[in-house]
Amino acid sequence: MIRLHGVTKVYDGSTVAIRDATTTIQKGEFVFLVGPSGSGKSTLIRLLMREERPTAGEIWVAGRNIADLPEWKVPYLRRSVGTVFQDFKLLPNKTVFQNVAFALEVIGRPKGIVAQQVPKVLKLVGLASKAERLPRQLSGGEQQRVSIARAFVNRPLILLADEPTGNLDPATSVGIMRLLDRINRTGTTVVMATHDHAIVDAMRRRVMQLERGRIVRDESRGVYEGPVAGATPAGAASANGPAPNGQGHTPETPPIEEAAVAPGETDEG
Amino acid sequence: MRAEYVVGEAATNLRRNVLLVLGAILAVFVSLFMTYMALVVNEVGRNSASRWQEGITIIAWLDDADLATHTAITNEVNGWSEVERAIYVGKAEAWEEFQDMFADNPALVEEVDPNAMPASVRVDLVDNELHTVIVGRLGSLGGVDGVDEASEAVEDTLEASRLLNTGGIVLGVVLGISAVVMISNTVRMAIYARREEISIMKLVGASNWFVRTPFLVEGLIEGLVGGALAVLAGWFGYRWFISNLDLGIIDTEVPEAFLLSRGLLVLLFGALAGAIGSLVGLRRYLQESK
Repeated sequence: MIRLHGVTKVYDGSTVAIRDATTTIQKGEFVFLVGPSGSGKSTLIRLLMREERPTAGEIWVAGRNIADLPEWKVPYLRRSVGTVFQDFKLLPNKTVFQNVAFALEVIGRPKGIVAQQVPKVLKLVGLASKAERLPRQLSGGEQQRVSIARAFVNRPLILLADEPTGNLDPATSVGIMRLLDRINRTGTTVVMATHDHAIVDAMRRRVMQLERGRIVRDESRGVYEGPVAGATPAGAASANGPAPNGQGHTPETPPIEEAAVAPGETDEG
Repeated sequence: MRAEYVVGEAATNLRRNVLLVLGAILAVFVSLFMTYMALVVNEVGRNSASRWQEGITIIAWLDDADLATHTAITNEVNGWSEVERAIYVGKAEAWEEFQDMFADNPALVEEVDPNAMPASVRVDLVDNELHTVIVGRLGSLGGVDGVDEASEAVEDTLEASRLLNTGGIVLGVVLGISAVVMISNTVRMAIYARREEISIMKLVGASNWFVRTPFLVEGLIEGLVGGALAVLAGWFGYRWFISNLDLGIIDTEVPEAFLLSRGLLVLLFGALAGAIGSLVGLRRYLQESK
């Protein structure tokens, strides 16, 4: 689904954001990108959605090398790649329904499809009863659900999430993660950049750790503080032990530990 | 892409920046009004000039001799090889002509003594280039009081209308550029006002044309409205002008078909200014994402 080959991104000719990254992400995988601020997580997300072009290397997404995708074809890439951000990016003067419908309308989907798909996805994210609310009338967690609904309403192959729980409290974050997990189980590949130790440790999915633009660790069922080859001491080694990478790995998607789910975050769908 | 959507979005943009939009429309209006008027004035000048050129080139005014003398002079002039035709206009005919010309001004006709109208010989030349020679020769003839050439007036009028035309077009072009700049500014403002929406559109994969078209339509509307106002103002202004001001010998009448065809041309220019303006405004957006 996603294949990086020797990807390097240099800003302004000197700042190296990504350094010679090579990896493969299979269809249906759930991948955490972890690492400190400035390690290149967000740059990698932006490269995957072709917000940026790599300075060198190839980025294959859904069978196309998007490094040399012509500008006018980018919109068609975006239709198969959903994106979710820390700041939600909702339109304040549109209702929940309109915000989600917007994603379908602007790619020319007929009204009938919009009327059919939007309630479905709102039900999935548990906001069916709040369709007519405005974003400011919602909590942060609910706003993020709207943004996930918008990213997913077009059934993308890949969902990219950049710190989706960055603005949310831990309890709310768990609800968002359950939602992303559910979306992942429909076969959508999820790549999520995060700082959140608790979430990564609870989910036990593939973890890719970045440090100064390099992929320094890649474990198939990792935790946030995993052993880095050579460098970091393997103090917090996971039960599975370090795995080289996720090649040929199909996640069995273990359910989130119920203990981690906050009582307040119930799913309506 | 639904037309309803595009027009709706364009209308929203127009509503958001009313002052800026009015400024852009005004800029289009002024520049196109100038151009339109220059075209009309030029046509008026050209019409009058060509009518005179077809007609009598030289008039030799005769003194109060008898008809036989007058006929003799006319015959002599007719004998010159450079002359295509010389026509004698007697006092009575001149008076009739005068009455016709000023039929709408009976007071003036009342005032003038019919006998004050001089007889004349009106001379058409084989080649208008020879007029100085003939004017000289006519002046030296016995019985000729004076010689007038229409050609000088013709030249003057042509020159004036050429000047007006060039001046009008130059001014129109300069103002036209300012109109394009104004439109591109309003479009840029509209883009700025909707940058959030646009960034989300791009995020979810709206095609570039889907994002651009409403802004293009906005510019087009501004250009067309400005152009339409210019044509209306020009048309009615011109009508008012010819019905209220009498420029005497200059024939100010221009056919409706001319006004209409040039009006459509002006509208087309308005649309063009709108389209170019919004494309310029969109240019930075188009180059975005590197």
